[in-house]
Amino acid sequence: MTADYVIRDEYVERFAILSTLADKLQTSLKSVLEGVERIDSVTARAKSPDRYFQKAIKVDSTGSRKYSNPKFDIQDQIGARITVFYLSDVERVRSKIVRHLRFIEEASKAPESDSEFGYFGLHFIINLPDDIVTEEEEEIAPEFFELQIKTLFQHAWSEAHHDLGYKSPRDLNADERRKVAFTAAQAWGADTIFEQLSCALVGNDNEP
Amino acid sequence: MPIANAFAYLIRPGKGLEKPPQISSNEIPPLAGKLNQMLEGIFSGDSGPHDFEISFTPAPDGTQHNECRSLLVDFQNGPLLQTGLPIARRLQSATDNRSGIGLLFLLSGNHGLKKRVVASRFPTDQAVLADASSGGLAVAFLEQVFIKRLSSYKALRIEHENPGSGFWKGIATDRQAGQSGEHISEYWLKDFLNADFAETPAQGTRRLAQALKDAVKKNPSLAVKTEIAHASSLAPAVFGGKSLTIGDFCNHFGLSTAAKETIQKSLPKAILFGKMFKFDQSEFKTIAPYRTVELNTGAILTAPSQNFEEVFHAHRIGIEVEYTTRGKIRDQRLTKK
Repeated sequence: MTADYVIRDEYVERFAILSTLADKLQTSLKSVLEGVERIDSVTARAKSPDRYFQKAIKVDSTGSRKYSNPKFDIQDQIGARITVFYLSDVERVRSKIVRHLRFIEEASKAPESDSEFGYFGLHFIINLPDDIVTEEEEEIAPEFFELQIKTLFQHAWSEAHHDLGYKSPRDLNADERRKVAFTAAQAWGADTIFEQLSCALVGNDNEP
Repeated sequence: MPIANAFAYLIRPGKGLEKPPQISSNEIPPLAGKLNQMLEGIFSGDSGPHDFEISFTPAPDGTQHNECRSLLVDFQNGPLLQTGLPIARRLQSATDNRSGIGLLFLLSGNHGLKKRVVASRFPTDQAVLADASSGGLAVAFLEQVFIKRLSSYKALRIEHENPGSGFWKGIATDRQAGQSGEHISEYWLKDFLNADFAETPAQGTRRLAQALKDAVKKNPSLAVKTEIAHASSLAPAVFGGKSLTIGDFCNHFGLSTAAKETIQKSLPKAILFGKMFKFDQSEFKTIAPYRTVELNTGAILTAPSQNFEEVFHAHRIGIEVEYTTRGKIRDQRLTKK
């Protein structure tokens, strides 16, 4: 247990600097995305000490710690999110990001089965840009940050879903799980319809 | 810090071959001697102007996997002749006859709190041995000689406190690429390491363009502003697709110390002055697309930065300048300054 507190204390010590880095990252991402239309928000923040601690002490199916060295193994100590209006805007933002930042992972998150509905989003693990890290911060700064690019509906669903999962005192029952999947399907449907509408209306703006 | 383990592999070209030639290998015992001194120099040496930061490329499906990196992590985890052999085989499969026979050294040890691995390849050379020990002079032609010249080897240095999750970035060297690192071997960087510069061309170029823009704003000297503006106008034509550092940019245009210092101070940190990147013309033009000259008469002249001198012809008359231009009027505006 003492070792667990050491993990938390070590992170708490770094937290202020991680928060400063997150602020600088947010500014940097906004600058890279300047001029890109239909971006609702660009945010970045350091993982809260509580969330970090919960993740750091997670165990796998064999009961072993998932992260043997959380300081280096946990790659989303700083997380950034870009929310956009339509599905095709995700690709537009993606191409800007990969042009400007070097990443070590890109994952399009979706439910395992095509007949299921749940979390959707584009995730990256990206090298933290050198420009935002001062010489004094270098030893403390993580090497990577996580970036999520999502539509507004994907984001809204994942926030509510996360809140339910985080605050619920028990596992969801079958009916509740079905309700959650239903809301995911609705969000997916809204995105699909808005994408079709934007292709027909917004995308044709400049045509004669 | 001394090398804990050192291994050598003699690698003949094997690119595209179904049955590549055998790799001869051996462990190098940690004895005092000139070979170890040389290897120690490569292992412990600090970064130089030929070195550039690299980042391993993820798998084509986007997952966090890079075979070369994994082999290096395995080697660091258990530095043995056998764990180094897959690295040697990988280098062999990327080596063609143009690169020729090479001698690969794999070194591992600690550097401060970090675990360090160095992979270094020396090309083969030919030499003449002159032996006067018998009283006379015996002369022999030697093939497969590996000469330690600071201008001839390629290397990768990678270090981290926790190699399993670290070891994504490293420092690569290609001394055969020449001074500017402009011709960094695709064979070493892409084919063998499956890596790229740690920064994208747009990222490095954006920093340069922003620093130039800030420097012009910051320095009150008109001479310095002009120097930087001229260099900026010429940059896309000069550096398109080439690798450089911001220091190289300043040196290429022979910028004054004052201009150089202002540019350096416009960077978030000094070390970025020497960081290598590939120049991206379109990104450069995005950051500072226009150049503006303001005269004491109230005239403000603006033109695309890249061809400002072609649009406005400057004629010096004493301390004054007369600008001339010709074209059809396309638009007029009333604006704030």
